[in-house]
Amino acid sequence: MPEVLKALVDSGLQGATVYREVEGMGGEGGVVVIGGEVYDALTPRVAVDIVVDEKEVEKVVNTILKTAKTGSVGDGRIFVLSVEQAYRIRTGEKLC
Amino acid sequence: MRMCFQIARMMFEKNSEKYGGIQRDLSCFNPGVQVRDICNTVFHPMQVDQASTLWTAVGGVLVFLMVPAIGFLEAGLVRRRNVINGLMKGLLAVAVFLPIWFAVFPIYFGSVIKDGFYPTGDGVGIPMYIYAFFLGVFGAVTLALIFAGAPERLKFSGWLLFAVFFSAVQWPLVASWVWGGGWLASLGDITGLAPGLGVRDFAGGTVVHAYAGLAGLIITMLLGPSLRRYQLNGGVRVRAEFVYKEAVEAKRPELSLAIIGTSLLFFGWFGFNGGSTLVVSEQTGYAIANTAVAGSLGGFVALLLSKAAERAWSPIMAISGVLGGLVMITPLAGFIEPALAFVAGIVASVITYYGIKIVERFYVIDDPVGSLPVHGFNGIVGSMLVPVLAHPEISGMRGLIYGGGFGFVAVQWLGMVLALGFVAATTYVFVRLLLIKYRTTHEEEIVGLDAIDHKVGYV
Repeated sequence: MPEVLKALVDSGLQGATVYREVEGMGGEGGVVVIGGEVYDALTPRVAVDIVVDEKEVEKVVNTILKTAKTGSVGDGRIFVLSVEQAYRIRTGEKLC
Repeated sequence: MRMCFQIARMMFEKNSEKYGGIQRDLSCFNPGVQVRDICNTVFHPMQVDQASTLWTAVGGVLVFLMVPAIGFLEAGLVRRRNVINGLMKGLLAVAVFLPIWFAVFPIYFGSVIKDGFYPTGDGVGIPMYIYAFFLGVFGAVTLALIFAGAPERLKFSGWLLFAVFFSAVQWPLVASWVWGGGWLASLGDITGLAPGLGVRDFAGGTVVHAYAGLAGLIITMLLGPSLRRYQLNGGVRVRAEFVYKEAVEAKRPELSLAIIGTSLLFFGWFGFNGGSTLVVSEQTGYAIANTAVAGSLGGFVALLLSKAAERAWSPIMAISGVLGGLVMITPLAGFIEPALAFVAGIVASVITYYGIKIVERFYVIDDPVGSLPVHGFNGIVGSMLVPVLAHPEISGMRGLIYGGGFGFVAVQWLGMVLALGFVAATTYVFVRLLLIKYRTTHEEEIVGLDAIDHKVGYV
């Protein structure tokens, strides 16, 4: 994680939100049934939210693809979504 | 525990005529003791040895805290989904062991009890139940330690089954052989190698720590590694890439439980070693000083080793080093000079540090708590050093470096092999016959014992 963040900051990233203690499921499945009872079998994950200008999306995605890759199952995914509006609470200013 | 053999022997087993005579003579000068002299037999109503009783009770209470503390230690170092299970096993080690122990105690230790007292001197003693409590908490510590060595893969009902067998049969037998005036304590006489000597274990290097490390090793080997150490490849278990302890890697808050647990263990250890003199004496001072020195140095030197090798003041190594030093000094505490406790602490930290590295590197067993290197290796080495380092004036035994004989060394080492061989054999049979059925499946292991056994984190 620190290496990925370092590469992002070096490429000019202004901010990010990191969720250290989250769990999720992927192709391996996150639910098992044992003795008729259902249990979750989620895997620990790290989630990161990054909001950037449209022009910088490709740069950020490429940086993460390059630095977060180990080549094994569980490296994770990147989803690119559009943000409709943004406000700065301190000033009330509309950012986009 | 040294006093225990000497007095037990003196009072009940041998030379009874000789000492009976002395007792009667002394009692003439003690107006508080009623003497009934019929046909040359002496009868003393026992009285409470106040200082020793208080000290033994306090020691027992301190050791009591170590049992849940081992649960803390385990909880801090296992996967998050097994944290509650680790804490439960620490607490329940007390709840299962002690009731059984008080019931079976007279069967195993009846020979050292006289008129409801454990004698500490002429006509005085520690009340039987205080002595039983003090020994009992040692057993509970052993039980908790065994399963800290085999976490994450045995269901709670399996734990309970072993705990009952352990409490009723396995531990009381071994403890009574060494501490209850049993055959291991007088092995020197039996074999003729070292008259008056036998297996000497001050506070449980063999009876508690090597015992727990070895039993944990056998359980872990037979149950197989947990999923942190293997991956399923087409249904076949394949060894996984080495993974550093999850707690450290992810900076989980539970790691602090391990540090709290170690702190409580260190605290309780002064009762564990200090209290083991039972009688308040000069030896008590040595026991406490040696414990403080060896535990502290063990942790500090292991920390320096980790800083030198890994460039980190590693909390795992600090925890393991402190415990390693304490384990090493446990069989020696009341027998050696404080100067040697410095050496013992440093040796223990080296054994602990490289022991952990070897166990992890060569994949000996899957032992996330480090029970084998910390308790097993240090317990064995510490016990082996007793006949070498014992100071004649402190312990009443002449160690090799003070010109003692090799007979004592041979007897101690032989006795350790016999005692630990018994532990290994009975544990092996019990696990193969019964415990193996309670091994968690791969899926159960992923879900974790908290949810499977205790229905915690089930939302």
